Amino acid sequence: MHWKYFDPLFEYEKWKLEIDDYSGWVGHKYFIYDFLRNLKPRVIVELGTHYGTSFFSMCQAVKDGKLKSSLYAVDLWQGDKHAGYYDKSVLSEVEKIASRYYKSLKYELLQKSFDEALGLFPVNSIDLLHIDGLHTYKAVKRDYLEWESRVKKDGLIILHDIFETKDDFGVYKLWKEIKRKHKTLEFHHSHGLGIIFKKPEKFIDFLELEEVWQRYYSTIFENKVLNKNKLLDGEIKELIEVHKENKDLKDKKEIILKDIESLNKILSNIENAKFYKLWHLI
Amino acid sequence: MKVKIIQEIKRDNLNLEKEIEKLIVRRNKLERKIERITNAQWFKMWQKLVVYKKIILKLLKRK
Repeated sequence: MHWKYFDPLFEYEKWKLEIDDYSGWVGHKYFIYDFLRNLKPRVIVELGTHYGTSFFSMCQAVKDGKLKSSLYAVDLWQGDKHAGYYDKSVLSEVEKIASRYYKSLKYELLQKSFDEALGLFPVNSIDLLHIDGLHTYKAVKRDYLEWESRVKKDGLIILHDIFETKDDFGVYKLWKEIKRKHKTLEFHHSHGLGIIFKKPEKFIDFLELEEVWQRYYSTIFENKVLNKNKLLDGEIKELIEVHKENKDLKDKKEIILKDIESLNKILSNIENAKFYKLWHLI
Repeated sequence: MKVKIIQEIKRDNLNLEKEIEKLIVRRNKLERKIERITNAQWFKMWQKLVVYKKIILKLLKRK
């Protein structure tokens, strides 16, 4: 399966409030968009939505790709010590944006604690879980352990802030632990984003792309979001092309090796046949 | 300045192309060898014998 790169327009950006200004997640929105368009997960759950940069980026992908996904955003919309505390106006804005641009989608804004929402999702029911709640080690570990069983055996878990070490942020500690046990993929920009593959063999083609993705999506972020225009577009295209060529060559090599293996088998069957030996004796 | 990773992948691609060329030569040799054997008179006889053997065994079982 080849990874397709999209060039989306995020409708939620039209909202008068520039919600991306409030988000540390903004650097990953082009990635999550492509991620959803390519992998098409059916049940998507987000723990910690705030203004909804990640949630609406996912909604955009579902809308543009006409995916049959259901999206659930779980948040009390009260804030916390890391995101800051806020009033009801944030949820009200989120509701307005959702109904204005993503009304046609199957989404739910669940104003609940993560514990309350846990009971709504049976074991092995979620395809993609995004954890972005309170970022202390204790809190994020609890979220991870409690919700991990809700994710399907071949599902995916995304963690934000995996490289944030300020104050008492502790996702990076959990991330180190997870990396020892699971196959993962990570981004370093925008506070870091980590993806855990519960069944990595299903995503083997994509796992090979880590280095390319790191380069591509961090540059897209710098060019499109930070407007730095580092003029690396040509290099990005070249990188994608040479990587695709590399993949094709590896596939080709694999096919030829299999051919050789089966030809060798045929030959050894013939050479081991009694008649063959007899004939050569004569 | 070229990105380091691009250069590395390009180098890898070149090596892969060379490897593939060698493998194709190896595959062609094997194919030719098998073709030579299967076209040989003795091989055709052997195949016939295998068929006859099966028929005879079937007949013997019936009896």
